Amino acid sequence: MDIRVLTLGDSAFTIEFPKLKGAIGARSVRALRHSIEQEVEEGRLPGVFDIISASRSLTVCLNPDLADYKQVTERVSALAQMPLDAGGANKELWILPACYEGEFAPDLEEVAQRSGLSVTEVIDIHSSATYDIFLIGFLPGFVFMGEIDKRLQFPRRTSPRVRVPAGSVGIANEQTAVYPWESPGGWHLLARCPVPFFDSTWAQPSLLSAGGSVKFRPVTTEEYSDIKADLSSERIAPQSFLSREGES
Amino acid sequence: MAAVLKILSPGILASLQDEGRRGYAGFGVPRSGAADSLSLQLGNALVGNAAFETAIEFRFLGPKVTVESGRLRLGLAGDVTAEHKGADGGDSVSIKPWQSVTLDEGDVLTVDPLKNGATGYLTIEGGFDLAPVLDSRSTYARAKLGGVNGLPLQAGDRIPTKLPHPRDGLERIVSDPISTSTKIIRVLAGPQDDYFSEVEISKFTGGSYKVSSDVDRMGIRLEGPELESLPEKGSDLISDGIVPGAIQVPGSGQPIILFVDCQTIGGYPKIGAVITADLPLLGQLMPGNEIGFQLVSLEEAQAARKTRKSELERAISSVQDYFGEGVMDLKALYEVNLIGGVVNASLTGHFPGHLEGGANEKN
Repeated sequence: MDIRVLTLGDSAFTIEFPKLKGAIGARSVRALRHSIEQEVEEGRLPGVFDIISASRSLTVCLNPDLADYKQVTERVSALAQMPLDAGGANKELWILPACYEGEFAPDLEEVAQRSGLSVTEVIDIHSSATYDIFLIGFLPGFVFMGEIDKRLQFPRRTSPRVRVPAGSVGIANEQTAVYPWESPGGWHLLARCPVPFFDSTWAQPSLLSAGGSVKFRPVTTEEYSDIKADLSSERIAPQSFLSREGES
Repeated sequence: MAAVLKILSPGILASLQDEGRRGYAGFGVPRSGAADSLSLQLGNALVGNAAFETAIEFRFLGPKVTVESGRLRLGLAGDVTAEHKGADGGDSVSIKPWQSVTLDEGDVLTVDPLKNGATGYLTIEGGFDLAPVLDSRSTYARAKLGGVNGLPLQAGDRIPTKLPHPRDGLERIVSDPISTSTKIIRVLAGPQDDYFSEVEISKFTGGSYKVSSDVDRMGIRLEGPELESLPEKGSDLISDGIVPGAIQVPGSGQPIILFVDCQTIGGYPKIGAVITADLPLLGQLMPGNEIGFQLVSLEEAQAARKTRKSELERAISSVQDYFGEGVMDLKALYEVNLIGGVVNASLTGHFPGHLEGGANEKN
């Protein structure tokens, strides 16, 4: 497979599959990540402490006191050129409540106008598809998913919002995502999801993982508030939105 | 009972920081950690701590703290001065940079505004007694990780420490501290240096960039020669991984150095990344500073890292006991001991200016 190795300072490098994108890119990245993680676990890549997945590349961070930059680069390049095995496909399916109403959906009408669809059609299109989870990154627990219907594909907003509320469900280009934290952001906001995506006390701090899939279930404002209250009082667990377990 | 430090006023952007979080970037968690890791390490050496023990980091304006119970020794790291006012209401004493100071219960330490750098530290002998979050006590407020309840320090915060009182009665000073101010930042080209023509790259390395007022732990925005990416490449790429020190060039052409709290992936081309040896220097950049960039090779970056390490070791080995202004000379003390062999340096009265005489008895 075609790869490029890109320098990112003296303690990180990025390995890129320049010809891949979308779901295939995400799958190759996941497979390479899996094989690097295995090497790290078996002690063959000392000093490697972080691996950052992107949609068609991986960034490997190393401690230069413990790792030889050139050796690690060569070893990871060799791994990338081997036949990649995604390692037990993740079959997890999450069905997540999303409220496409009122203040929770500030860009819904604009998206409808730009796509020449009705608001109801936009909601139907966005909530009827099952999305692949491409990667987690950018912010803790931020999940990039796709691909969304071509009719809903628009570039990011020209002027990003200074404050996007936590739980906002957005779309940009071919992807959709949920903002796990309040942060600045340039995605078009269609809905709000009450489920927390990240908790440092969980065994795996991110609720979702790359390779699984997500479908949004439209809920009313009332249902949204009920679910949010049930989650915060721990009457229901975030894990209860997992509708199909993964196979290992 | 362990001593408790209370924050009377937090200053600007005061937070707890250590070496930062490693191993969680795959979940989107930023690295965080000290903005100037050299000052943190040297400040910890000053109070006898492990290199990356958690400390209070502050930017531009320092905090005001007191000890609510017990006694504790703090180290002033960076270009940090402070006023120490005793609980008994006497005159306050000025504490110089790179000195330790012991606070009795009720004493107040007011850190002065920083004059020659952006970041200072208060290190705490023995460290704070706080549970790590994702293997680190570094504060990352957006996701409420680390620190005190995941937040920047607030007035009224009470932070438990591990020791009830200092291990001994001696103050210490770094007599030959490391300099973390700079005008030249060394950079390795990539990952997207191929987005820029040679002309643009020489603008980047030949020009002078002013640090804008937009400086924080997430990034350092610069003002200087605009860098234009090649028209066929544009300034929007398929997002890839970023690390602190990466220099991204958005459509405006004005570079931004991503810093310790930066996101884990980004979609702007990165012309280069600051070498590990120079990362701590970024923590001291103040708005208005002029800097230039110098491209180096991987080998030069590795050599620079070794040099930096030995500079830090030399500074750490210059930590010595401090008996007060201009009175005591450690070398003289050793000579007295060497020749006489009978002088007990911890005995009060042997040496004029021995500030902490008798402190051992109180422990």
